[in-house]
Amino acid sequence: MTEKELRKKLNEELGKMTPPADEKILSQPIVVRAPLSSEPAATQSRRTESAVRKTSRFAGTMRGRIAAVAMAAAVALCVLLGVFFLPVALPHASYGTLVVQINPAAAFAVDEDNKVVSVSALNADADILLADEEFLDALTGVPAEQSVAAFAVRAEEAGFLQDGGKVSVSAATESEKQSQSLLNSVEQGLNDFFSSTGFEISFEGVAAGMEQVCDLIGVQAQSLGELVEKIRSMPAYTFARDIAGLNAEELAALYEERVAHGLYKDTVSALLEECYERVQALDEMDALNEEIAADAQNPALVAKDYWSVRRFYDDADMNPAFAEKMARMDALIASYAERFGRETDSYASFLSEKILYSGISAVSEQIASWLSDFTDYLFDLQLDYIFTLLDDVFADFTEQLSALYDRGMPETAEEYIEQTREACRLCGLYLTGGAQA
Amino acid sequence: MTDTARGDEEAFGLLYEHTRRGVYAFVCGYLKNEQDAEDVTQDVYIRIRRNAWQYKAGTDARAWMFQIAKNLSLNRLRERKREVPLHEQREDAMPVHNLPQGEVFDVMKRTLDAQEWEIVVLHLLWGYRHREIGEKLSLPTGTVTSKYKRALEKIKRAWEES
Repeated sequence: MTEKELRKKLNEELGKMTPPADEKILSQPIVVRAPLSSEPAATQSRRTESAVRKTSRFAGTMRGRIAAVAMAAAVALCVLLGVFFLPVALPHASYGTLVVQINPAAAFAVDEDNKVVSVSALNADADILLADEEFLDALTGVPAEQSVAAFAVRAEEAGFLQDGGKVSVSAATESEKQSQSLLNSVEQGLNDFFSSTGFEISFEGVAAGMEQVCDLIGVQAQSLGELVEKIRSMPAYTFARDIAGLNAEELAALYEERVAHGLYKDTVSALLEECYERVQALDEMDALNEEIAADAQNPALVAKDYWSVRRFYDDADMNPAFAEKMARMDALIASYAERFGRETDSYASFLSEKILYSGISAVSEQIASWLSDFTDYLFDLQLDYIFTLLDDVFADFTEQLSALYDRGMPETAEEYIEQTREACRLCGLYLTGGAQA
Repeated sequence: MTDTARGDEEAFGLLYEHTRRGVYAFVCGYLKNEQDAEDVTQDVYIRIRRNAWQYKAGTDARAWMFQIAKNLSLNRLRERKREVPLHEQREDAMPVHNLPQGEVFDVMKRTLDAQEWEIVVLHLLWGYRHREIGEKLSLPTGTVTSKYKRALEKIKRAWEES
């Protein structure tokens, strides 16, 4: 059979397998222009919130847990446009507020040139993203639509914003026309990025009033100028805003609750869960490889492992049952690569991966037990041991996390802010895959 | 695709007719399950109609569709993982015999690994050149060429034997 004949035959067969376009497809209108916020839901995503993962013992990673928690609250990304220092507002240079509702949430203050001058987190998820100070700096000094898009991209990288998720934008400016103009440019910025990824992100734009924005940010202001100033002067992180007046003991208690038994525990649990899943997958591959090696139908004479058979006997006639085992192993290897980003397409690479997780494997039942009932007490008791376990596979990351944990409870507001920011930064690093590079 | 993006139903009909085989075969490589493959293929075209305005005239329409098909396939795989508790999961991919039957299609699913499948589908059905496939899959062009040749030989041999 020639290549041409193969193509023809394949097209014929697939032509029979795939039906003509049916009613379900054709009933979806072809959308020829970007839907405006006021347009009916038919032109927007059917899904009205980002996927919330189940919080069963084994399902999801920390990004899923954090997203699940954060989704419960209305979140706001506020972009405040305003003329800050002019004694008289010039009509052409004066804007109001832009609220973008996305998970996470942050407030952006923008000057009369539409450049972002300040960014502040409005919820814990944004704290995690913005704790990377380099990233935070990169969001300022650029046009609002560029800054908002960059923030949305980082949220997507961290797993907070997923395909089918929604971005709601409310604009409150000195005129509806200005609001709409701003909404359009932010929407365009988001669409420009996400359309190239094949992701579907729905966009909802609304003209809002100053009061609504104040509610979202949690401040009070009598004018847009006052609101802009409040946003510019507020600390960049939510955790830095609610510690005023706390004494050392109260700071330590807050840190223990939110960071030690909140952020750390979630991060470590997510790492353990990933290790547990990898060990399960590797054990399954190992067991199947043993089966393949012991199979009487294995065509190999000496090296009978799956990888050697694939390498030296791939063209051999294989018994169908044996071929199916080989195909199952193909699928397991592809699945492992897909889930964890590691190729195990040679015996050496498989063994290397297995050895890396051997320490985790030895205590996998213990890990499963922790994952189902990880109390704060148990966490404190076992943390050193867990860091030792995780060191082989997350070396740099766990070393930094461990060092931070060892610093103990902060005694001053400055220490609290610095340690919490660092903890958030490490968490963000893990979520965006930086820790596992 | 450009005409479809302007709302031309006839153009969409032609687009569907020309691409459904490639989309379906590509999706099968991920999902290995007839029902899921049919559902996701349908979703790809619904998504195309819904987001036609995002397509930029003059750009590679295949690449745009390819990305949508890949994302939706991965979404389905993730959904499948969430629906089944971990301790009940056997493996991500369902057994290959859950795919629909077809002579050459059957031979392909028996003989090709996941990467060979993808390369063959992209070249034979989507019309991508080996260099383009290498860029898509982050493989050297030479590797794509040799894997493609090997895949064809496997298919031909298995076809002759059957």
